[in-house]
Amino acid sequence: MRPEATARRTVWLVEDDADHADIATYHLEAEDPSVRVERFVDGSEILDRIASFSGREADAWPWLVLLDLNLPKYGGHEVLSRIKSHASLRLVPVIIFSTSGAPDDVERALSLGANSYLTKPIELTGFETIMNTVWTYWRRNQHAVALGRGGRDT
Amino acid sequence: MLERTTLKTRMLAGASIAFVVAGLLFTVSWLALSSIARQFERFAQLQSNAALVQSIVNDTSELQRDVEAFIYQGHDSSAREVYQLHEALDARIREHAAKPTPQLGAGLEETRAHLSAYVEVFGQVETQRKRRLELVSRELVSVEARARGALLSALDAGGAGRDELRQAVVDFASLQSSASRYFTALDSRHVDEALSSLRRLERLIGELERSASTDVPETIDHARSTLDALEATFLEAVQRTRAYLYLVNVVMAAEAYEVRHAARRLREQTATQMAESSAAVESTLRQSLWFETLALALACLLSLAAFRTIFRSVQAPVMSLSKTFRELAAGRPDVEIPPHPVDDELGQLTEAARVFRARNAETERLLAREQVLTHDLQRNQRALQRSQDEMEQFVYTVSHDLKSPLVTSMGFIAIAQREAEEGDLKGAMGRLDRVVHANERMGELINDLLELSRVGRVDVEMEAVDLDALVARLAASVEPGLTRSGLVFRTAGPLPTIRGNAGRLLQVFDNLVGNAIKYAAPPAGSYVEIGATSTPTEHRVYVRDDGPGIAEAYREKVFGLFYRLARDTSGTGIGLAVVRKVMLAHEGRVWIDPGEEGGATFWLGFPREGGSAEAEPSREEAPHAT
Repeated sequence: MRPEATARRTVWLVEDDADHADIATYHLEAEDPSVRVERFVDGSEILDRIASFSGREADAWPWLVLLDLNLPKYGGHEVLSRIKSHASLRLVPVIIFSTSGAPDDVERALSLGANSYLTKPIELTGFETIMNTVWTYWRRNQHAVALGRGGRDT
Repeated sequence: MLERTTLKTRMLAGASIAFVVAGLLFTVSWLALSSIARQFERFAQLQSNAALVQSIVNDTSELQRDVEAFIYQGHDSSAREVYQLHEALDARIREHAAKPTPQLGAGLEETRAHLSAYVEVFGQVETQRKRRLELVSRELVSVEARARGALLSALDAGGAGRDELRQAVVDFASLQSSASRYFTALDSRHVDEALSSLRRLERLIGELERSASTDVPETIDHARSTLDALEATFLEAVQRTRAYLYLVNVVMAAEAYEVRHAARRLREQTATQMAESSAAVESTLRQSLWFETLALALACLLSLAAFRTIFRSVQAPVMSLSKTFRELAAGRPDVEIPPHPVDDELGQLTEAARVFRARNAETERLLAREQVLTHDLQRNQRALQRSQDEMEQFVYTVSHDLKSPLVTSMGFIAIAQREAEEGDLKGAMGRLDRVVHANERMGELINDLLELSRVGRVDVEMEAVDLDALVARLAASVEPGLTRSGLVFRTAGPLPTIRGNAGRLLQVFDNLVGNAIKYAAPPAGSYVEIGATSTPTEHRVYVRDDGPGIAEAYREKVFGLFYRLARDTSGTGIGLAVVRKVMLAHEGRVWIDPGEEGGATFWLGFPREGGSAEAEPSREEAPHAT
């Protein structure tokens, strides 16, 4: 059996809008029923989590971070830069997931190290398509993260 | 005085002064020179006088020599010479006296008189000489001859001895010889000798008479009478000779002396006059030289002073004008232009400077105006930019916040569809509830936006609003909410009356108090208070609570559209945006200070009447002004 089939994948979902979080979670679980979605409602929650993150508990390692930019308290950009400057978390793929498609926001996010920038869809099947793409793509590219983690998952 | 004359006049004045000075100098020189010339003329005259005098003296000497020659030699040519010379001299003297300015005058006349007297005496001398000559050389000789004959005949007749006869002949010869000697030598001894010879002859006659007979007395008488005649003639000749000698030696000599004296006096007079004239010439020359020098120096000084004055009077305004123009050229509008009262070239330049200055001032004014306009333009541009930025921000926010429920709706609809397909109708219905909720929220947002647009309109009616009354109305309307939350509402001191729209302001206070109820209700806080202070430019009204307060980072953000500090409270986050919008419509501002005992203090600043609405709040007072 392949290791990834047995391991539970954790996704950090940073999203203040409960509806959006529910929809995203629904689609992530549709992709992989074993996925574990850890949700944060604002900037300070995720920053606390980052600050207390030790990396020892294997399951707690985020496989992916889905980050909304428009957050109460600390904004998404601040969170992004904290993750990307963290000693071990910096290798975790961070995908920006925002209602804003403004070029300024995109550019800033990418320059801060975001691995991808996705705009929240208003199409009917948008969410499904996006979550499917994210899942497929980042599962394929997971080896880089695994290497960064010292092959703990493999 | 010069300042009031034209440039041309000044130059003409300078030229005139030069001309006058030159004329003055010329006159002075001419006067001096003509005076000297006159003096010289007189000197020349005196010199000719001197020559005349010298010639008179010479001719007089010549005349005297001729006179003496005549006296000693008796040539008639000498006498003619004397008369000719005298006539010539007399004519010359008369000629001089006939001149318009006979300087020799009296002296010459005197000389002439003496000369005339002298020549007159000479005439007498000539006559005397002739007569005497005649007497001596003719009468006396004939008388002598008769006397000798008579004597000899008397002696003969008387019968005198041989000795006696011889004696008479000797005596007679002696008489003749003595007389002759006298007339040649003019020695009076010879007269005595002649007379003694005559006495002896008379005695002889006498002796003869006594010794002779009486018939002979006739011859003796005759002899005696002839002897007497001889004696008389001889004595007359002597007398005449003596008179002649007197004339020559005394009268003529005296006259000659007089003439010489007069001539000498004349010469002396001339010499004196010439010396005087020469001294006069010298003194005149010296005076002229001195006067000329003085005049020249004065003329130089006068010319210099005049030129200096005129030059200065031209130079000073020209230089000052040149300085003025330099300053004007540098663009200064407040240059002081020296006054010039005359309408000449300088006056025209001054006028030009005045025009220049006016242009400068106009330029300055236009520049200032342009600056003001530019400033206004820049301010308007900034305002426009701000407005555009706000618009962009607004659009960004609105699109984001409106998109959010749309995303939710679509997401849930898609899930509901899938669940419905899978037969999970209950689940699908649940999803649709969420969709409804999201759409309701969207409606709420749209209503809020409309409200915001409404309160932001600036064409609302403004009036005097008594904030005390307004807050009293507010207290009544918020009473239920306050009671429910347990928050105490209070007012601190009198509130000002400001200019504004009562409805909008009521909404502002309502929002702020509502905010306090939402965030500062017990147990977080205990009261909400409304009070006021004033600064010279602003009425400041505050709404204060003792709730958790607002962290500094959010004190501006909270006024943003749809910005909410907490997700778990109701509301869309438009209340404070409305507050700010209303304050801006009142030309006021709103900002947040931390309360003194924690909590939040919202400040509302209303511009005071007369205070500038444009007045920027000082940074110390309101660091977070929005």
